Amino acid sequence: MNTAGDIMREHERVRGSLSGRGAGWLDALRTRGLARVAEAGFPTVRNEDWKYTNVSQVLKSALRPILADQVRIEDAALHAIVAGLPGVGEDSPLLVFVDGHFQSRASRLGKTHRGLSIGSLRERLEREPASLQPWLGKYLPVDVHGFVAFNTAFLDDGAVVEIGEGAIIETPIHVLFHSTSRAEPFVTNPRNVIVAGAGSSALVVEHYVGAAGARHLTNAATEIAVGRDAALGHVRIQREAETAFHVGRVQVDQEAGSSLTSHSFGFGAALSRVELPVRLAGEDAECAMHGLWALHGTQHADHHLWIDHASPRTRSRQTYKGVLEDSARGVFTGKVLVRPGAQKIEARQSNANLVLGQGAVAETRPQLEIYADDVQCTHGASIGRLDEDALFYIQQRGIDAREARRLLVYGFAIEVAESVVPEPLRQGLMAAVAQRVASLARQGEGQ
Amino acid sequence: MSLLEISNLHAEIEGKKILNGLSLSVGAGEVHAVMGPNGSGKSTLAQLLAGREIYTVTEGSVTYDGRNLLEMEPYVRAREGIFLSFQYPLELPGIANSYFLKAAVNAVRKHRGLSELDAVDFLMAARSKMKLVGLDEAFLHRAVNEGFSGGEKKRNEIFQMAMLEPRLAILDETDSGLDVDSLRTVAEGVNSLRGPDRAIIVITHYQRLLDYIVPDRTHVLSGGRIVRSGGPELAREVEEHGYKAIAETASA
Repeated sequence: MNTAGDIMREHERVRGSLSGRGAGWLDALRTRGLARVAEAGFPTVRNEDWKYTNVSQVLKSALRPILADQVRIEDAALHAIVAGLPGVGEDSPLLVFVDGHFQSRASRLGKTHRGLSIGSLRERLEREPASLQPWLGKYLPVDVHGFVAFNTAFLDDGAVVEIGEGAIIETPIHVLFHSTSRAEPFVTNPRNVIVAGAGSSALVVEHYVGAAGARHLTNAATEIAVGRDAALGHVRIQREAETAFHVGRVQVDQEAGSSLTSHSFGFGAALSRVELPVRLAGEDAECAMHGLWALHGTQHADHHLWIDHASPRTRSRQTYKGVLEDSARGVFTGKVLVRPGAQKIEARQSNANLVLGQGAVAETRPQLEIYADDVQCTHGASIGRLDEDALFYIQQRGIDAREARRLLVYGFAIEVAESVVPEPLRQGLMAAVAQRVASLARQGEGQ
Repeated sequence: MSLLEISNLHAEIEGKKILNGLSLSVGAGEVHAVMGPNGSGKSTLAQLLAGREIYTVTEGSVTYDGRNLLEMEPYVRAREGIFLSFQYPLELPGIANSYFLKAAVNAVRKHRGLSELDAVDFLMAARSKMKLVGLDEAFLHRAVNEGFSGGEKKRNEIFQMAMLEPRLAILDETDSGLDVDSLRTVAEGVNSLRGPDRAIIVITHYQRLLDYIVPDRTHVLSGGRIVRSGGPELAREVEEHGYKAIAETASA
């Protein structure tokens, strides 16, 4: 399944529907992606970067994109899904995609916000493709692996968020990717572009959700350019159906003096892999990367961070946590590269895992490559179980064993959501974490 | 009949004997001090009564309110009115004091057939009880004990005790790590909670806490059993002559 021939045939089938056809640079970009995936295929566990994540089960079904005219969803159903998203207010700017395609009626373009321009990639590529030429594929290497190449070959729709120079957007901008449950498995290839102009400030939230039982692969790629002295927040919350697969890459490039605050939550999908490569290209750029996965059953989540300290006085912090029930598996790889000449660097990394299930496994891999000498670099990883003393303390106050356990897991996990700014997004994400922890606890009861 | 009746209790941890035939009877309304040197079994006694499962009882019995205490789960003991003020209160990052305590109070109230407190009632009660131990209301919104000083942790324990209204409170070295002012405040908090329906066991190494919380009975624990019992004056005797002398006169 999904041999070069299969992929070529599938591309042939949908080619005519892809957005912005005829723009030479775009056709060429897709062709490069297609050639790459046809030639090199998808990563296997023989690839060191994919050692702990075997995608063969993902490739057992044909990767077939859904055409726009095949998308069926009731407005009421969509509104209910939007209403259930953490932190989305009545007037939040919002882009909605179903099975990979933009839904304009459910979206709100937030035109009242000065300096903010958001919309669908498809519409933009149809209307003025040249405006995206500087950004699409600029930082994201087409050939990094098969999933990115595939995404590029089939790129069609996604979110475009542009924050003008100096614009301060106080309200978070939400993007929803919803996948429906269909008779046949399918693939979506969301491709997002976020450009934060110099001195701007904004926060973008990507939500990935799906109908119960949905069988599909979300193969997302987000390209982020953070301009000089800009401050960007990025939240990614993956709550796909536990029958789904999810691969996503968030490619970030930061200019001098800029800051990125990233949060990645992984609660759903049978198997997920999220990559967050950040290049601190300009001096004094900094990024704070936070993540949490909370898994049960046989779920597998892999977070792969790569922080490239390419300039002096750049700072990075990685704070990742995992909760693993049952036979769930969590993988964390945190790479830090300090390039020659990049002095006065600060890089901190921590990954704490709560391994609760008998068959649960946590893999944690700090990978530090340092070619400068004036570097402050720390890393710490822990893999542990619940503290018996704390469990006893809580029970000694009248709280039963099950609730004591839930409280401790909550206390461990909530820190990741607590660090989100601003309200009410923070409250929404804290509630989402609480809900996830409670649902893990309920599942645990049945065993 | 006594509220708590410990009879010939033997207990060990990982094969190591800690309690060796300890007997103690505590009636409702009484305050008992249990004193002893390090390693005498004081903390084991406290933890065992609260239900810590790392200890194995090999002989003897513990009856609480006419029932076999040793068969009860730790949380059931708490709901039945046993409160342990920990020597080292645990820090619970991410769990707000108010959330934790409200859950605890309501679990206990429900068990006792009382209506659960809503947020407003809880806050009112908490405010008045925090005053007892001189704890600022801001502590309600912080994570349980996280970053609290030693004194703040102990005050928080007694605050929890005040909220949970136990029938039997066990204070395990509540005086350790306290300066004189904190000690006085904590002791005043405890004294305000004395009452005809409440028994208190004060476990301590030193006599100084007993200057503030004057016990009805004092016991000296040595080698896992009580070797001397007496009135409040026994504490001063310990202070003057030391545990060794007391243990020797007892065995003589």
